[in-house]
Amino acid sequence: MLKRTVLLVLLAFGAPPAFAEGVKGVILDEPSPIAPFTLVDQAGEPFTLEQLKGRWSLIFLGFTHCPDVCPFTLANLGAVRGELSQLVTPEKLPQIVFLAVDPDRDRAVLADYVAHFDLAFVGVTGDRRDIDGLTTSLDGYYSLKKRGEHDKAYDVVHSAAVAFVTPEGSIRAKITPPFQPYNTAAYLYRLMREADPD
Amino acid sequence: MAKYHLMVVLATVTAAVVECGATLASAHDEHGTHAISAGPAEIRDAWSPPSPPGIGTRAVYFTLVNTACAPLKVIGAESLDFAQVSIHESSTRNGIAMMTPATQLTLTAGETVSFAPGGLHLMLMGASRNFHEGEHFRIRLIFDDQDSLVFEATVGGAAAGGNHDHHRQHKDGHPDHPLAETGGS
Repeated sequence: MLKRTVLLVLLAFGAPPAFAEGVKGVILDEPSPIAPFTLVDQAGEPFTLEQLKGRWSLIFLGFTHCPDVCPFTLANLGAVRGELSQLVTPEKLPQIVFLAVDPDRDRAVLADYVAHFDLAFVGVTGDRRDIDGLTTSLDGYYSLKKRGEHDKAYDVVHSAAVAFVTPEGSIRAKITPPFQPYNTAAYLYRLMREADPD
Repeated sequence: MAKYHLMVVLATVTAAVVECGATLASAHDEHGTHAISAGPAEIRDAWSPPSPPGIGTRAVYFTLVNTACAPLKVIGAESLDFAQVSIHESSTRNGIAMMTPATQLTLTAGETVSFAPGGLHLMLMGASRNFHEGEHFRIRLIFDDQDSLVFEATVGGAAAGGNHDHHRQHKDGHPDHPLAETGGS
């Protein structure tokens, strides 16, 4: 009993600052490679697996007409990136990728949408098949809740998780809301340091 | 120790009861032109995140307080600046984010409900125009007794709502078209 109490006290006070405090995340034992895909970014330029290589990425799946969860998540990811900028050099900062799964409504506004949150954000979309390909790689999910052919105000149910992708294009971890900026940055930083101690 | 806890609980309950009665008596004096009906409601810090141009959908967040001694039932909302306003709740189940419309929201006497990102919010669709940071628009929250409360939401970050409190107005106290006056800057 005493031993257990000591352990609990150590856990509570003796441990180094909890890097993952308040962060809900799943770290994959083996990073899961993303299959090749072809999408376009907000400027109409091709965005493929190559654009995920050479730097860490945070990929979030959503839609531009999402009033609550998506703006909240993107604003938080911007803040996470801000916190990370205190810890890593600019070239090592993860890119934030917004996978827009509702191209009929997303395409026309995607450039303004991502720029609204952060000029460094990348918005990608494409044909349904290509969107579905990346969604599957991310182990993600979405469903357009159209109530008819002329429904323009439909909701899109989608994964809330954000994938943390290695510079080799493999998913290292998935994190879910809330994305408390400081703690999330510390969580991601630890994963980056583990992969590249320099 | 147990006695201390009991005392704290008792003190809290007493305070709540006093506040409930006192609000009814003093609200009218404190807030002058904001007429208060029996069973007043209060909205604090209403804000709406800035949205990108071209997106006619936005969320509004605030704190809703039922300062009355009776339940308060919210049955809907409307705004002249938007085609449709509905009460929604975002939730994440099994890692999937979804929104569920709430047709009715009941606050018990004295209850405070937070409309906050990732949870309860008013979803506004079909904006009449783009709203820029610092601008305001009006929303009417409708209660089940035909009464309503008109309040202004400020476009900006969470702090944008400031300390502007809006109190439920009696139906006799409404200006002719309170929603017609859209604020702006």
